Amino acid sequence: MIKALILLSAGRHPVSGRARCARLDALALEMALSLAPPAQVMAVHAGDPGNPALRGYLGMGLTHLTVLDLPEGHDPVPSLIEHVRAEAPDIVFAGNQAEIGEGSGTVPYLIAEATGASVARDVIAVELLKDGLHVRQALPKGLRQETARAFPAILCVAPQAPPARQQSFARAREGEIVTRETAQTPERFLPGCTLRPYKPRSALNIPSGSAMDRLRAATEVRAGEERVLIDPQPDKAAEEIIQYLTAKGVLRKPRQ
Amino acid sequence: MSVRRDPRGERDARKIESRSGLPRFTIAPVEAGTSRRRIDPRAARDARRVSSHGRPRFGLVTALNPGKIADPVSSEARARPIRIVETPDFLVLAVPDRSFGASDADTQAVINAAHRLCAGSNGAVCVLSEPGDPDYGAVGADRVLQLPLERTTAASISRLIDQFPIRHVVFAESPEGADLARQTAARTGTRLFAAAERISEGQASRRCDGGKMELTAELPLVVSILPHIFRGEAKEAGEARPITVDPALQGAETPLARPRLLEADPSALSLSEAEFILSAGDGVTDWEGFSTLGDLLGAALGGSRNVCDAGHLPRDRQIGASGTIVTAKCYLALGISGAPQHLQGISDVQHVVAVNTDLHSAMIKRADLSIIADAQEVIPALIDRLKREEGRDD
Ligand SMILES: Cc1cc2nc3c(=O)[nH]c(=O)nc-3n(C[C@H](O)[C@H](O)[C@H](O)COP(=O)(O)OP(=O)(O)OC[C@H]3O[C@@H](n4cnc5c(N)ncnc54)[C@H](O)[C@@H]3O)c2cc1C
Repeated sequence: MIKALILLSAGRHPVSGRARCARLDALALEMALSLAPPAQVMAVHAGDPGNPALRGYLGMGLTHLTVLDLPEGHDPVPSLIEHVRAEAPDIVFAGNQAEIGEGSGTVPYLIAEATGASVARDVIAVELLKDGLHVRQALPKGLRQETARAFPAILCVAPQAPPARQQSFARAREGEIVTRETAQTPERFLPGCTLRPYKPRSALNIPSGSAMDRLRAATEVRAGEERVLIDPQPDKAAEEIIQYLTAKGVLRKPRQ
Repeated sequence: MSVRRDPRGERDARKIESRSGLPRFTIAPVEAGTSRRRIDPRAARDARRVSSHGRPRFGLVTALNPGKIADPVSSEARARPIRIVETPDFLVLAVPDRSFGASDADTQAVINAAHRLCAGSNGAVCVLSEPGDPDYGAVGADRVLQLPLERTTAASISRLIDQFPIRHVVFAESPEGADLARQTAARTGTRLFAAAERISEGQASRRCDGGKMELTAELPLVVSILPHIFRGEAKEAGEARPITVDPALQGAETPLARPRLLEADPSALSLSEAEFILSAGDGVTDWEGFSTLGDLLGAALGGSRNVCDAGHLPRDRQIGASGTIVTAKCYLALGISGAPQHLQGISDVQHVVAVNTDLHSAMIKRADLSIIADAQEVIPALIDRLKREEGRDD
């Protein structure tokens, strides 16, 4: 039976601010639980064992959740690496990035570097093969791609993955949180950073400079190639448009 | 053009000499034709009239009013200064975006961000090129490093960091760039500064804590940037001087297998993700045909604000400053006038095709291919032709 380990982080509701399952981690857990054939699924969290967010994962059908006990302000990576080495799973699941904290999505890569696994980001589906897996990844513009990976592999799940199952309150209460002692490494990077509330900037590319520059950028028309057909026959117009689209490679089927 | 009476001219013609210095005029009839010809504003206006149905429309330029038209200067013809960095103190390595569907603008954004990292000091931007890449001088590269590999790997980048005085490595936060940046940071044992949104004076900011907070820190070795924020043309061209890499120092590990691309369903896409958009404005009345055409072309549907206000399309299909800002490769606009608010939404689109009855609309100016015709006639013609060709394919 294939061993899958899932890295779970705590999340926070974006509006109410309440502790909850991190959305991407819940999607990753869903993917691990619905592997076919079923795998042995283990889960680990590095942080506070009393965090109410962790119960949500148990409610999705996990029986055990290992928590590496770390106080706030400590680096979870060394503890996680040690745990992954000890368990030696075939697949490690994680979210693309965490919902709270720095959220740069580097933890899986640090684990991969230490354990010799390969990483795939933006995963939306996996298919188990005899000696490896097929991974389906989401790309921008709605495109998808498929790659083959050997074991051990680390998969980071994208928001486009299939939705997570409902949480059961009874299961959330029954599930067991197993606390483990772990080496404590203080976090060194974050204390040196300044934090302030994020102010959204306009998605429009407004240049700095005088009011005149800004007005010009807002109202100026970028001129095109300017091939103009005046009052063509409709069929001629259609032919021209299709030719143009084909030449630019936007029509999916090349048409002759 | 009719000759109008010019009262001042006529008066001047009747002027006679006076000894007192006061103006004197004769009452004898003077010859016609001595009066100055004046421009008749009404006639001039009529000459500028552009044939249109309904509301009168006027062009700006006629023989009477030639206007001032500057020679359009293409960006190539404008001579740009070439920056030369003779002996840089350090290099900033810019790794071009090679994700599927990445445009030159994304690579340009990486180079622009790399220049921000050099600002104020004697650094040079060095682009990591692969065989078959274009010339990076025009986009602002001071140096070009050509790897003797078919594909860039984290291991090869980390060996370059050991060999050359590289202070920062910049990636695009795109599918492939994000992956390579994280691998490189893990390989070199440094902290990644991911998805930087602002860079100034060695400091950078990014969103964190689920997007609610902004984190600012000193820049580490490996940085990835959000490409859309650093877009824009290069201010100066670079000399793109090649740097040789000793092949003996470059290992030859085999990169992971190349992924296989799968087809996407355009109708399920949000507008900001779509690659090809068919868009309608007030000039469209044949909505049945419009949606059939969208299916046949495999395009996502969008519209101007007027169309969404009228309820012909849902609000999330509105394109423009107060709707969605799209980054499609191609935009087919039917009956859209091209208001500034609408054009702002398509400023990043590469190819625009417009169908409009009005030759003078702003959309036609923006378009690469313009058809001056009734959209209601072009839509069925396009449908016909696409159906015929589909039949031929089967
Ligand atoms: C604060 C603010 C924000 C706005 N934000 C947006 C926004 O986000 N997006 C947006 O789109 N607008 C926005 N607008 C509205 C914008 O100013 C224009 O009013 C709107 O874009 C015009 O839409 P239109 O081109 O469909 O209509 P019109 O301006 O009425 O143009 C119709 C065009 O169709 C042509 N036409 C007519 N009949 C035919 C035919 N049979 N065949 C072919 N062509 C034909 C006409 O020549 C004309 O060019 C905003 C306005 C304001 C004030």
